[in-house]
Amino acid sequence: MASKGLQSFSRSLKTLRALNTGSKDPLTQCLAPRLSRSMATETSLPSQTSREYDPTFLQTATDPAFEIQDSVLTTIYKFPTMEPIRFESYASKHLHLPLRRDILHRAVIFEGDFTRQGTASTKTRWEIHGSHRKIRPQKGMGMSRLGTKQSPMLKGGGKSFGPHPRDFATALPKKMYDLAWRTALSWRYRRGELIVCEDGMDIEYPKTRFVKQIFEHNHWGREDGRSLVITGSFKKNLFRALRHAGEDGRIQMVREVDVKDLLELGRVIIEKRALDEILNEHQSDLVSQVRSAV
Amino acid sequence: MRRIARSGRSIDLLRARATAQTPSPYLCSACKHQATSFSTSSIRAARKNGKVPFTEKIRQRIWGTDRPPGQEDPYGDKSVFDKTKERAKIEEAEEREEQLVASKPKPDLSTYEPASTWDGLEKVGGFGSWWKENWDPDHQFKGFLPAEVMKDSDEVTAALHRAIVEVYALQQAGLPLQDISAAVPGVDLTHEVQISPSASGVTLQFSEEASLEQIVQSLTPAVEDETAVKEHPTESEEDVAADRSTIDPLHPKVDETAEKENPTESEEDVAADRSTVDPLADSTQMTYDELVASWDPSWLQISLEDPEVKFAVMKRTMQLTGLRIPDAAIMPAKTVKGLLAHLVKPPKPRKLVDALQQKEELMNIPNVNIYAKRVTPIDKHKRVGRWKVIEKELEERGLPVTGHEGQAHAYGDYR
Repeated sequence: MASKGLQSFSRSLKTLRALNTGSKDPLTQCLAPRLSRSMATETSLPSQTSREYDPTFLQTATDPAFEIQDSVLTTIYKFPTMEPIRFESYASKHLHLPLRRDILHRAVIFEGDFTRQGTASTKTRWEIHGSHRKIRPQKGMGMSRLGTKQSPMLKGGGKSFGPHPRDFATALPKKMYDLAWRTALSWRYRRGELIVCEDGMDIEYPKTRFVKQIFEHNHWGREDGRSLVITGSFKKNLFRALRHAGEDGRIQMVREVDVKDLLELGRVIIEKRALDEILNEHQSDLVSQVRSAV
Repeated sequence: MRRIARSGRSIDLLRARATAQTPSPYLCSACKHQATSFSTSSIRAARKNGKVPFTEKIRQRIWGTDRPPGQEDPYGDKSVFDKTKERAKIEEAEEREEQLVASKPKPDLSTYEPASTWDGLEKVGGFGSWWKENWDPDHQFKGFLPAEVMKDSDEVTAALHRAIVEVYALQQAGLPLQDISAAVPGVDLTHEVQISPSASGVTLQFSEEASLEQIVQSLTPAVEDETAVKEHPTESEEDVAADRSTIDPLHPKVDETAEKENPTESEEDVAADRSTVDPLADSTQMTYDELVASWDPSWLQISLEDPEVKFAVMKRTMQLTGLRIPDAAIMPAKTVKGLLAHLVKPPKPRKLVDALQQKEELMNIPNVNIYAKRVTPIDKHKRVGRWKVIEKELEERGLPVTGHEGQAHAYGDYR
């Protein structure tokens, strides 16, 4: 039923379009075979043609980058010098997921809600300090009737529907959140903005001017969109140096990072250990939670 | 103290008060007392100045004036002994200064001209540039990639060719491929070398200038005596050097890294090598695009499936060009061509027409035309050969030829 209705709809749409887009010559308009249109052979819906002309589809169809693979290569660098050390392979479901903006958006909103402090508080008329004496007599003063001075319509009175401390946190399925983590990392990977470094990344001196040199040499600084450095644990020199180089980037330990941080700056420079930790913790949709019966 | 606001206050009393402060008071004590007791301004002034000590207040009360005669502070001043000591100290310092001034030769001030601008004047004070002058030179960061990035596409292509030739040369010599970046890149020997894929792998055709041994030699780290120029390295530098070396411990590690640290002659050669004119190609005046054209194009079909070869090529290319190749570009590159496609990107078209005309799938569609400019009614007239007639008629009637709005309206076409 539904498909029939759709077909007839598309047919009438086509005749309409033929009338509109056809030449403005009234002769051709008269000769246009309006009724015979419904007898014509069926053609496919225009959705397919639109897919055909999608330029990205044509590009990706032959691009080997979009071939389905089990694992992807990742270069491991030595941290301050950025010398490539070796290739590592990561599962495609970890670092080569397609971009899902909707899931990323939900994850960022979820985090934002969760982070809200929610401590705004006002006093109602019952909480405001003071006597509940009637301000003036009910009648005879030539003025409005008033009860207590805590009334919300008076200055210094209570707030009728003011904010009170509450929890703004929203819910997001864990599997979806975990997918968002890996999608964010995959997005960085596909854009070539995920730089994985060997474990134990640190610098020689706890000097901001030294770390600025490193950032400038590697094109990570302010001109190149700033960088997020993620380490597995606290690195004294690196943290001290980058603490005052906020205009060039930011450093965070892996347990302080969330999806929003991964998406924010120009690139993500991550210690291998930290990457493994993230991927290990956020794979609930891949790994079965059911315990074996042994 | 409670003060009474006095409406009618005698001006005489004020005068008396003013004279009471002079060093030679001639009023009687009773008058003085009266004047001070009525005064409010003095207390206010005293309070404004700060705290008046209690002893001072007593003295003021006793004497009946704001400024009682006697010492400034009869209870808190230094003793006579202290005073003499202090005076002696000051005198001694003055004497010493006089001696210093006397011993100093007086500068000739006849030619002195005061500066009108601060250019060239010595800056005194502050330590704004201390770190820049004293710390930075000893703590220069030296990365794996060169600081300046290659921009010319032919140069990048040549660097990739060099990397591939060197990698396969190492492989043919039977040396481990991890050593590909051990030596600082020197003079490019691989210009004449032809490389092409074959059934067994890759065939290399060496020239007279660059044999296999020479290329392998250029890839091995320099020997000890070459780097004897090296001055005393600081401890930190050695640490850095030790950190950076990844090759096996059997290899002579120290001299290799030492050479990396210090800009020796070989590095200057590198710098010369990076410039557009190469010393080798100099004799024949060969530019990079000619050089790239001189190679057999089949070198682009060389397979990079072997991850070890791929890694070595990637690493060497990065070292030569200064371009970091992202993982997403390395992974799908199965041949050299794939890698080159990432390294050398055609410049982005400045106009939309150019971008559209580059798309073959659009150009191949029979009912799609791409124009650089908007198609106006005049263009449509021209296409059917009607415009000359219209133009002639318009000119005859003295109507504007440029405007086509009217024309468009006449044909029922609103632009």
